Amino acid sequence: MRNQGMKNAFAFVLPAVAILVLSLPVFAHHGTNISYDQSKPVTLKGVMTDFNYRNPHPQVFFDVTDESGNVTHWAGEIAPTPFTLSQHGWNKSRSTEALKPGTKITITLGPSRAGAPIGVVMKIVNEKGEEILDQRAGEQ
Amino acid sequence: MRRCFVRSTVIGASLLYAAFCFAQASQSPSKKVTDWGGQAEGPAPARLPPINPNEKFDPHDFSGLWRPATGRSLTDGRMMTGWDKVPPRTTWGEQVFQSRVTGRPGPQKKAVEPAKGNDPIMTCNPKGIPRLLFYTGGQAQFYQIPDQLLMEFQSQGSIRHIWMDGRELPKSPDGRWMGYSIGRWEGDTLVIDTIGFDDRAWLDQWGNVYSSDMHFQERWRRTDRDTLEVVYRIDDSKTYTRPWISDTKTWKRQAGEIREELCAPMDENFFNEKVRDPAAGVIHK
Repeated sequence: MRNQGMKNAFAFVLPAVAILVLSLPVFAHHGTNISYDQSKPVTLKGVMTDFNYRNPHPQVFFDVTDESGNVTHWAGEIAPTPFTLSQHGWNKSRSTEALKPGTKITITLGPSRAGAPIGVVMKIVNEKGEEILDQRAGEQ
Repeated sequence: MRRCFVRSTVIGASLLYAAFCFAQASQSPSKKVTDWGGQAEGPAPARLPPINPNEKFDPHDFSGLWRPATGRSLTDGRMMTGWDKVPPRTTWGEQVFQSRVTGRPGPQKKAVEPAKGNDPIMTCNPKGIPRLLFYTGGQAQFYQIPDQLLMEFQSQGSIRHIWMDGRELPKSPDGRWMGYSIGRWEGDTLVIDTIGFDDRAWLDQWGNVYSSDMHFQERWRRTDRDTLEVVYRIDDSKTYTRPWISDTKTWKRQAGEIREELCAPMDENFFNEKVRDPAAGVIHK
């Protein structure tokens, strides 16, 4: 009986936390969110090919290989500016090291509404399960 | 009943915990960062110490690092007022406003993808004054030197000169991105008057308008060690049928150092070509 109660409790806790986390949109200035749909996030496993820690918004470039071996070149827009990232401890050298070419990442994006392999980055996690950059800091 | 209580308690606790974690993450200091990659900004900014209620400050001293604060709504700090307080536009003002296409929606205008807009800053054109005052993403260093108040804006590395030597406004100023500013003290209120604008610049990121005929006035007060309050006023009969007076805006003092945030066309062009434009279906060949 008690175990059933716990199961029920978790059945509510997990969606509640998930809703809370996923409802934190990545803000970007200039109305960038019109280009991306954060209500339908996609999560991909990829390998970093390049990273630009530059204005107006840093960018990640990574390859995603499907089951047939086809490679898609993806790009992601980091909503926080370099200034905002640095205020949260993600300066250029730390960010560049964490996302150097060859790094395997699991990345969640709000995809391009136009269908391009581009998205606004909502979360990046490395192979150790560490979250890279601070996506909550993007309000401009 | 008991099950309902357990569910409510657990959900409530989980939400509180999530909020706690979020707050902790938001305040997470960057103390582990010791390698600053040779950049000039140094270590992560320290936080300002709490204000002592008895702490004295000079209300005529605005020197220091400041940042416009954001409020509850998207427009707080970023626009003069909410949309309901925008004065009626003249025919000219309305034509210019409707010609400005941007990613920010308004009650009288649909938003588009930034790639399909015509905001001049998307190609590194100057924000100018007043728009720099509405950019909450950046800081500004104020310097008080003999006869001048200088405002150095992190955004685009812009410098604004406010002449405090008692001079008059020029009779027929050339249009400038930053305008021509003079300042004076009225008690503890710093009053800045600016004319001589380049009206190709936008008032804000929504594409609101001013003309080169605008008289822009700011009334600043330092209300405590870490707070500046300011009210802006636009008198511009070419654009609006009556003056536009802003809500009271707040600027907060910042710890740390101002950072370089220049808009380099090569970076902006790369970003537009590789990310912003194709994300909106605009392909460069």
